[in-house]
Amino acid sequence: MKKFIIAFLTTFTLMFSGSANAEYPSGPVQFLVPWPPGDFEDILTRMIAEEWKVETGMPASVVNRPGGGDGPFPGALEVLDAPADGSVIGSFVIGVPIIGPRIGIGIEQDSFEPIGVFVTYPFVLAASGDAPYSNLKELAAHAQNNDVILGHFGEGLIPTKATLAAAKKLGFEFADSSAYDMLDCNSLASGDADVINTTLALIEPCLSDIKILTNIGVERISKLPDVPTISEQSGINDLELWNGLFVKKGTPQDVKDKIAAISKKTMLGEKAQTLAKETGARIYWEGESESIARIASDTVKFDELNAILQ
Amino acid sequence: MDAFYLGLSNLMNFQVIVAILIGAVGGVVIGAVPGIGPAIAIAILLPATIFLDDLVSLVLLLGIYGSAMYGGAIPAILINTPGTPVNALTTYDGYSMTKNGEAPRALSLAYSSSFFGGCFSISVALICLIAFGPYLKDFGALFGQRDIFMAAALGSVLLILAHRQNMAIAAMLFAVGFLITMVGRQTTKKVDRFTFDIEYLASGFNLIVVIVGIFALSQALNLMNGKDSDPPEAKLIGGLFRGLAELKNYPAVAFISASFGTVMGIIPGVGEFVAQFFSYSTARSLSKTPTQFGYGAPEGLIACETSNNAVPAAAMIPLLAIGVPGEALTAMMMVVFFDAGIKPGPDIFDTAPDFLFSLFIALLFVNILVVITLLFTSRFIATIIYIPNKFLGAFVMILAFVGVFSIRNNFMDCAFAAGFGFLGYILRRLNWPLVPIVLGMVLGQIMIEKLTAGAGKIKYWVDLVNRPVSGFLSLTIFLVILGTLISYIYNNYKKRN
Repeated sequence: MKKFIIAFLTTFTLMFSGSANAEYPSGPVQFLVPWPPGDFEDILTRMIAEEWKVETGMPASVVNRPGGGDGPFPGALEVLDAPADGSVIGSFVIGVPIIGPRIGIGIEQDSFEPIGVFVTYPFVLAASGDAPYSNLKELAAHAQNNDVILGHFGEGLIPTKATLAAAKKLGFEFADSSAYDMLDCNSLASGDADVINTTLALIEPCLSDIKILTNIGVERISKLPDVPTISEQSGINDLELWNGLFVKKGTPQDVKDKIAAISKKTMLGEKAQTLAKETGARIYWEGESESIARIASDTVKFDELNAILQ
Repeated sequence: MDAFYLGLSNLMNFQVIVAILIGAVGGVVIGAVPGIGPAIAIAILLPATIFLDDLVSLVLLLGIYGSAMYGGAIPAILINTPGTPVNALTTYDGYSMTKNGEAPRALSLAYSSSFFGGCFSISVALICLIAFGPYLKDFGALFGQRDIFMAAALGSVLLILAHRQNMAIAAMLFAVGFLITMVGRQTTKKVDRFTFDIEYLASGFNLIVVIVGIFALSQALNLMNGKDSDPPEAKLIGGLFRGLAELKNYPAVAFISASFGTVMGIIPGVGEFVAQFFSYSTARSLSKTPTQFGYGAPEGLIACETSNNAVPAAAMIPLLAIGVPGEALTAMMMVVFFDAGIKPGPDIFDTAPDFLFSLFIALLFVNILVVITLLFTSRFIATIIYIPNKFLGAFVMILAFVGVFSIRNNFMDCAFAAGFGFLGYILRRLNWPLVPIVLGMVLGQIMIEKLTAGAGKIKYWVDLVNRPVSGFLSLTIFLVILGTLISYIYNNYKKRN
């Protein structure tokens, strides 16, 4: 027994002491997406992981850790558990850096450092094709006398707050709301929710069978030019919903630079830009300093949403 | 049919072909070595699959899953020791045939029966996909949050009831798994559940860490602490080809057993043991020589091996169709599906039909490869049975720890995996089942998620069961529990009188 333990410890020590001193990346890298597979952040992070393998010759994987109704935060906490060496990279939505530090779950203002932001979601409020409303005004009228259930990605998340703020401005309330890890065609078809907050990628297969009531973004979605934004319909401030790459605080600058270089190349590449054209998502690369500035300005907009809801 | 050809072309890739080969041959070897088995092998491989390509990792695990029971039949037949727990019933008639000097006949019957069972259930799955695939998109609309909640609840009930001798223990261990999955910070409600102020526990337990600990490390400890038994020498004299065609003499037994395996595989929580039990009992009741059962009856061997090998392909169906795994191995595979960017559930038929075909065609290749391999290498594999337990245990332990560490380079993962390893070791020593813990975690998580998400539509409890599927499933749960209670009372009454 002793011999085996000694052999095991020796193997272990040799394996991992060698990798600690080598140039980054000296081992496998994991991109953690705190949502189920299939949405834009997942598709694009997988593209980055593929490019990573080509550029560095090292293994890279995408791991999905949905929050089970708790949004992206359980996944973010997993990234926080990992060492600050670039071996685990978070692919986070806007909510992690803006809401995470405010809800007392162990994420501080500086827990994560942004590498860059790379996608703005075509984010919508959708209803089934036979719903007796086609826009927010009609939904408001319908909700005065009928129960309407909202399906969203998490209670405190920004799109949920934007939807609730718009409802308040238009003078109605949802009868109830539930958090989902995934909101897709089946969420509407099965009757689980009457209206859902989701992205175009998840409802693409049934887009012709459902109604898009509004989109949550600063401008109309190129693919849906007739659908007004939530700001146009309700008067709340416009807000973009985005996703970016983050690492744990203390990650060396050369590691962050390496991740940024490969990610930027991927996002500006043909494959990602084709996806942008086909889906209406805005795909780009904004580096560390621009991302920090964006987080600061979006934090102000988030406070405005909270003020409406109080 | 386009999806079928696309699925086939997905497999025409060097890495995928190698993965099928390694999975198939590796699964046979793993199955043939008493003490390892597919669950432990898949648990060890899970961390590594994170870094493999999507289809490569899935066909590798499927290969092991689909071939281990072939290998497990070898020691069951030759030395009366099942290679995997599922092969236990094979020893009854398989080893008796060996004692009667019919080892090659028993092995070739086992191979042909397993092949028939595997191909039967794969064909059923493929025919269903081709015939009903285009309509399955509409079928998805029947499965809302409340329906999947009820499916997971039915799976839980069936799993517990399947442990007939240990129902209370299985229920308790299922509850332990349920509690494990609740550990963590419920961030939107700002509630810490069972974290005991340990920051590591805020993100909950990683399923892979628990699986590796409970299955692989516990068995490593078991092997290292156990004494090597002195099994009888496995002699294999004679050709293996002659017995292959003998299966055609027992078409009814083969067909009924394959059907039982397929149906039991689809029902969550039931699996190989119940399928074998039903098949074996039916084969005996149909036989002209029922007294031979247990003493070398070929029908008995055929019933066991056909039914258990029909289960893997069928067990993939509930996982793929509604995202509810029915047993431990498919629960482990669910992790890989997510990492492969595939979300099992009703939409999968719409979003990745070629991927589904790839999986079932790969499983078909695995079965073909395994039979060819076994026909030429059974003599060699028969010698692997004798690898010393202590060596095996150390090997499993090293691989398990390296795998867990590689998930995210965190020593705490290794520490908790070791903790779960000790828990699994204690359970093994008590002879308590391990599977309920893992399924408690997986099904528990599904039930919490679906109930929470479906809560908006549940004003009263009746809202939980007033949909066609959830109503049917809840009625099934009620009838199954009622049936078990009646059977328990009746048996007690019979014993007393």
